[in-house]
Amino acid sequence: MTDTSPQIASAQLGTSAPGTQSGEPPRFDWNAPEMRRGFAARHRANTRLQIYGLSAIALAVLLIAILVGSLVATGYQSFVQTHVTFEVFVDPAKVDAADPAKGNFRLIVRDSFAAQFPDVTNPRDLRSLTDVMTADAPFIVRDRVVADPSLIGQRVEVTMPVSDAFDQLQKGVTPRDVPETQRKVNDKQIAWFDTLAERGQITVPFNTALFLSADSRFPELAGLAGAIVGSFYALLVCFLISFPVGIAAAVYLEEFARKGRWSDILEVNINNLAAVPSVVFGLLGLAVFLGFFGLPRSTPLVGGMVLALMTLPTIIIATRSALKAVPPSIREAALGVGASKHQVVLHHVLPLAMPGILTGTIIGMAQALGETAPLLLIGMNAFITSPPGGILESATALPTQIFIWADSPERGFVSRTSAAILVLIGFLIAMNLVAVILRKRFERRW
Amino acid sequence: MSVYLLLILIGLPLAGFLLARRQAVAMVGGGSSLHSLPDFHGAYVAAWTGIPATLLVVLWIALQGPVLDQAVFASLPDDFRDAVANQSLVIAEIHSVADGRIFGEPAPEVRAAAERLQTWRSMASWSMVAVAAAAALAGLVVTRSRLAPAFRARHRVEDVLSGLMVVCSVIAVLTTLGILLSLVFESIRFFARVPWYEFLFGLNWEPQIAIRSDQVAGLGSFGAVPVFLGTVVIAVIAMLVATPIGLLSAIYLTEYASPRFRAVAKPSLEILAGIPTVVYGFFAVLTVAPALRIAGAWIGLDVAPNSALAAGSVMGLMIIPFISSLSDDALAAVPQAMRDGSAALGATKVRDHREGAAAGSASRDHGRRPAGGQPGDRRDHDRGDGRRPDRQDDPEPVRLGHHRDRADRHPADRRHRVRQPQDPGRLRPRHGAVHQHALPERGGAADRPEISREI
Repeated sequence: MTDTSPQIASAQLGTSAPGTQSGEPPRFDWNAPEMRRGFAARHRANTRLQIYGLSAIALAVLLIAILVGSLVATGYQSFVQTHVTFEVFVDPAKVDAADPAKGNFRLIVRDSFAAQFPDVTNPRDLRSLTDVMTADAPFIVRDRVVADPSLIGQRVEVTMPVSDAFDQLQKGVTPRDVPETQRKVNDKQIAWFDTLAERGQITVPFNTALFLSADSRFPELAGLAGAIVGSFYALLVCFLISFPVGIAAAVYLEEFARKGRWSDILEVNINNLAAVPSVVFGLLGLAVFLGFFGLPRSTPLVGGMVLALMTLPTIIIATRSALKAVPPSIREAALGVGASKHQVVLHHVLPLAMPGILTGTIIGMAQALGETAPLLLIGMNAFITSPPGGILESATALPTQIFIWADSPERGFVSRTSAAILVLIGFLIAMNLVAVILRKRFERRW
Repeated sequence: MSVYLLLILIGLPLAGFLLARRQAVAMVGGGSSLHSLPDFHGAYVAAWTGIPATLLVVLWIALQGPVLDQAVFASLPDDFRDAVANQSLVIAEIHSVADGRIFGEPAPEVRAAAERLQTWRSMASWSMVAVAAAAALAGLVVTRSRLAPAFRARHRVEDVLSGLMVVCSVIAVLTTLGILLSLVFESIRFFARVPWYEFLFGLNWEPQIAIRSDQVAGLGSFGAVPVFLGTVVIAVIAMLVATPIGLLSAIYLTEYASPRFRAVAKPSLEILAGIPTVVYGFFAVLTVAPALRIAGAWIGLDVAPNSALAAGSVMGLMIIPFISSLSDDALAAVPQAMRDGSAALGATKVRDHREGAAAGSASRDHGRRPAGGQPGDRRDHDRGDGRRPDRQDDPEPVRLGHHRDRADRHPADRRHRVRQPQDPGRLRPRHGAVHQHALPERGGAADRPEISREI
């Protein structure tokens, strides 16, 4: 038996194997040296392919690591912020108690800060001394005094961010050892700053402003609150539109539509829409929502509507596959006990498909959260310094905020951009985790 | 006003529901039995109270702005209107004056028009509330009068539901239509100013020059060739980066990797698909471009900070998961019988790939999935948990494994699936996006001699 098997094989292959003579059945000597060489070569090729494959994966993972690593390396610094603490004397001569908002806070802050260094008298030096504080320092003090007018005439301890150049200096981004002409801060300023640090007036606490304040021209004050709130409103609108509409469309196509030309058109349409580049949806929003219907520009309402149109195909496709996964026996059983077609779908099929639908929806929402191009076209890349109060107010979104900051020339915005990206990716990971947990927890396997 | 609207659009239907339900319950008392449950009577009345009024309000809000603008413009004195060069500018000015944002000294006609606009706006809003209330009440009264024990409320409600579902699915068509029309009309306007041959064959892309109409240089600066070329170059670079990495990792994951390795490696590759595009852009600017610059300086090249190489390589990184899962599916679609056959003949996996699977899968990349879904269809061991079910023993993997699989997939996968919505489980003809190629003869006579020559 063992003798014959090679012969059978060779007899069958005889016609196509080259170098065999017709008539006499060719014999294979599996242990012939050339055969062995062939084996070895083939196994080497096999191993090579394996190594190529593994190294391709390793390379891809390495690239991911570089991507995330470079973002973390530049972004982590923005999660802390250098602050300076000093005593401000709210001079009653410069602030009117009746109307504290109109006081000369620029002078108050300058004098109070200069009081830290009594030997500085030269006006030029005074100006470069005040450059250590953030440019918004007068407004920070003003807001406190307006909130509590009893502070007038008193000495108040104020903690405020230092300006971006010194923040970078403190964090070691700006090197101290380069010639004075090549950095934004001069030697005198560094000396003052170091004195402040020695006295313990410089602190580097967690940067709450990154999450609590909105955009600003000054990196040390810019935060993500406006973008987060704007993204939240836009996603809310997007969800409220695309979730019900997507489910209804999918249920119709999957359960009710008679297969025919019409349902084919719908289906092809939806599948094509899912492949349309997102920027085209922005063009649609620009032409239809802004141009034709005259809805307000830059608002989360329009952004959400555009994102909804973009997310719709994703949700429809996810819902349809979730509906398909519900076994027909459920439908037949429900029909059998007298439920109508609608009752079958609403009472039995849809609830069973819900985990799958929600998973698809969350993934679609995560996609919408990261989308930049359509929002740029409808003007959600505006410079807005306060969080929006509703869906009809101008706003930015997280990705567009990243876009704005990435374009800003100040050194501090590089790190802010990375931090904003980390926050955005954090949201995306959280959403995807929810989707994964939903699927693991609730999805039934029939 | 919005409070009234809410009351009308939500409160009235709710009231209608409760009233009709009670009415239906009361009808049972007389010994007659209801055709439909009381809830259906309620839902019927609520639907006809709420839906027409809501549609009316939406339509009104959508059309109020443009109609009022036209009316206000028409109400301007004739001589003033004739002197106006740009209608939309005047309307915008009237708007901002009406909203209280006054810059400079608006003309008295504009002030008057702004006041008119304001009164008309509030009139329109109130009449909208009135019309909505009338529509809702009319629906409530009419539908309630139709309730009777034999009234087929369930059928009517289901008809309404079906209608809503049809409307929702038509939104997709409307979106496509909207995209098409908005692009077509904008293009027509564009090509009315710039000749199409200038656009298609012009070599100079400087759109900012042509902002003012008196600038002669406007013409000819819309040559899109640089843009097209840039796109092609970036796409080619991206493919050069992504294809080897994606294809090789797919081969490894499909053929060699242990389920456990696969369960870890595949999701980590798919992280790339979930990262927003703006992040890649920032990565290109922040990390890749400077690195390329340094590398270029080493070999004596001056690399521009916004080079196509940086953009292309980052885009290549971005599409690795797309390529990888596409090839994954393509390899998976190669029948297991073929794998077994070539292994039985002594071929190693690499040979198998070069001759068989690659030949088969290359054709499948054009969007054709082998009909019917073979029993060995490997999509079914893509369950996310890395379990690899016995291919031959899975009697109907398509229905069970595959559907869930689709929902399981990462958006990247779904996106490419969209282009090939062929569902092997339901053999239904599709058109349009799906290319219908003839099924290449895979594992047929064409392949066998190749493999056997090896032995």
